[in-house]
Amino acid sequence: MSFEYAAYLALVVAGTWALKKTFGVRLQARRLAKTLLSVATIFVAWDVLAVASGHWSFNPKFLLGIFIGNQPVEEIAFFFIVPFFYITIWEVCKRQTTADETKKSDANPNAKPKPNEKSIAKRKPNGGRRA
Amino acid sequence: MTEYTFAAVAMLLIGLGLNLRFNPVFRQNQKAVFLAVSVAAVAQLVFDNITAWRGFWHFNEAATLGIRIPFMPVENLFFGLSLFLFTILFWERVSNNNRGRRFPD
Repeated sequence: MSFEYAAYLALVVAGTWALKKTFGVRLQARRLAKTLLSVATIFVAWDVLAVASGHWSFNPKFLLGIFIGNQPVEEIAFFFIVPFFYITIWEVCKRQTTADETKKSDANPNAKPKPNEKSIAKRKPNGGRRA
Repeated sequence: MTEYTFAAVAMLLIGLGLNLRFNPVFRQNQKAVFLAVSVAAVAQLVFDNITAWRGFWHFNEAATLGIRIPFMPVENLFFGLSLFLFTILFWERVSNNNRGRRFPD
């Protein structure tokens, strides 16, 4: 039993988290869950078929030793963690390239997100001034 | 037969085609696509080469072309890029609620 594969995945999670914090990326939870589940379903299926067909195999020396079917748990986690990283860099790149084309004042990656409908609805009609 | 090569190239092309057809951001913001693909590819080259060098996986030589860059099979790069393409496709297409798609066609 080894934590090595799990440790690499933990490193990817830490890197993604740092990237999120640095660029102030906020991901909608439900949208994220739907995306990760869809992508993981397709790619875990590919992995299952590939292992069953003998395209590649895992070295048990680097694994925790917990398997679901022919898949180590680390490999299944990989298909959730790596897309999470991809979404984060995609959002950062979208933001950076959009910021390039707009005014400098809008290019601050740490700027607070625009108020959504909910917060507008909450706002007092007189702008918070005393009546 | 090079089944892994075939599967990886096919998934890459399917991912590319689906993004061109169904992902408006992919079509409109090519700068972001280029930048994100570059970051994803570099990250994958680092991660996969370390793990391939350490011997995490055994690749069936008969299922691949045998081209390695420098330790990982080239098919792994196609695998990673197709994973990226499918991820951004779903991300741009699914909504944060149950009301349906984010982008009307």
